[in-house]
Amino acid sequence: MAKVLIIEDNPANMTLATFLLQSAGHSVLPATDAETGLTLARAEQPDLVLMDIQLPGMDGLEATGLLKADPSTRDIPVVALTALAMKGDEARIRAAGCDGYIAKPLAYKDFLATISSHLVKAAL
Amino acid sequence: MTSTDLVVKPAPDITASPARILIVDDEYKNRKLLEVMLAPEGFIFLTAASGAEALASAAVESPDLILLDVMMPDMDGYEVAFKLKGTIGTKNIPIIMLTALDDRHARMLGLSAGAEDFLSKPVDRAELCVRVRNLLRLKTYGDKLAAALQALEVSNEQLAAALAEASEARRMAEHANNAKTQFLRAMSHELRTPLNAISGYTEILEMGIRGVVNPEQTKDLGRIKRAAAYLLRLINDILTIARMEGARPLSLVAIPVNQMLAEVDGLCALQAKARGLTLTVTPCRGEVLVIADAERFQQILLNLLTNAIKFTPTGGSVEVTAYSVAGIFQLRVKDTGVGVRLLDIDRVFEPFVQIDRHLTSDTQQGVGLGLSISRELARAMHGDLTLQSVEGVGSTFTLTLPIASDISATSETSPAADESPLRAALAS
Repeated sequence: MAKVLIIEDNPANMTLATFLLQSAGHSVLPATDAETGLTLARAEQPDLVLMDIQLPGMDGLEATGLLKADPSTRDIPVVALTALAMKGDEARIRAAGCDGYIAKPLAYKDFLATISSHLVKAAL
Repeated sequence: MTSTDLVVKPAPDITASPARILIVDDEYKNRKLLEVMLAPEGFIFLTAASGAEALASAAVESPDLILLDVMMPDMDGYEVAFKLKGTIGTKNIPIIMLTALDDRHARMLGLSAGAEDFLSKPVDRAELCVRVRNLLRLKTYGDKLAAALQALEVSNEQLAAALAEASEARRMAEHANNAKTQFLRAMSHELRTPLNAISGYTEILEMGIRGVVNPEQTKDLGRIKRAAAYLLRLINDILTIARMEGARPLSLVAIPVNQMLAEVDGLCALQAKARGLTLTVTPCRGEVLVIADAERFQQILLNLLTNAIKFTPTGGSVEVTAYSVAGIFQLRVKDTGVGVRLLDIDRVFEPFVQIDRHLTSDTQQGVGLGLSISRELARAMHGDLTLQSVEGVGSTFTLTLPIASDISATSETSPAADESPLRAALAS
């Protein structure tokens, strides 16, 4: 199955996403800030990045921009998993380069379905 | 202002408050003579026997006109005129100087000192009266002009102050609005983050991944899920009311009313039964199509029915009647509940207002956004939501919506929809 990099600073939500992805057979690389996440993405070449947006230091929008600007990482799909769910948030997040958007609180089935569809699209 | 009420009188010589004339001459008989000559005019006379006295009197009494003799010991008439014209409080009082006949030099000196007019001695009575009247009339105009100018200045100042105040109020309102947006943004984010963990872990437990879940635990997990769902709805309701949610735009289509009513009836029947209420739904005679957004239409109906069920005591009834009148669809939801006081009828549609919270149990309590949102939605769909109620007898909510006149052309919104602020908010 796929290798997913999760960039998320909230421990409970990190554990939850890790568990859900592992239960679907994926392997997980955890990063609790954007800088670590970028380093891991370049070194490990994950199949997908699950990106929290509000992060300490560099935020998820900037991190996504850097991933998409780097030839070594720009083809990795980035799916935002964020509690920013107000008017205009999704558009703003997609404009920053995210390929997908999942609003918190997530629903288990929708969450896995969205991840799978992006993995399938990237594999084509 | 240099003068009294007199300044606003239309004519200087014939009114309730007569003009006041200051006569300045060092000789008593001259002063008396002028008084006698002017007596028929009905003026009030003030007198001064020296230049110093004249200056003091003019400053204190503000006469309407000064008759000023030139030849006086100590301070002559020119000096007096010069001083009066150089003082703000007295410079607008007209001065007639009394000079010797044909004394051109004296007249030139008077003119340069600022006197308005001259009379030659010996004074001719008729000429005196005419000149005094003329100058008084001019002074009245001058005073009026000064008063108008001052009033204008005052209004200008007030206008400037009002403008400054308005712009400050606007600045503060914008600031408050920004603060509100920031607050709601932060609130939404901060509440969703833990809510994600709460619902996520509940789902994991429910699936039995952490071990077998016994029936009691399943029930508890159900309660956690419902509470989490309620909390999420609450966050979304608050954002909706703040017109900030990124909701999808209204999609106005023709909707068969009776089908929708049957659906809602099915959703609420159990709830009504559990409360020991009779719920009767009377559909329209024949098929009626309304122009509405299906999901929002149902949201309004559910809100009205659950409200009615919530606020009606056991043994009561909730009647839903649908009909069409003059091309308008009307739906009445009538309950035998607690009712609403006349005073509160408009307030129930205000956000966050819940009348008589104590009548509902804790689990049923909302934040009071349902009716407010329902009315906004009804209006956005070119309808309305109104309430008639008698306290202690019951309430009747009436929802109106436009009927689809041509069934084939129903999938588009009408242009007027753009005028609704809610629609604009929902669409953007």
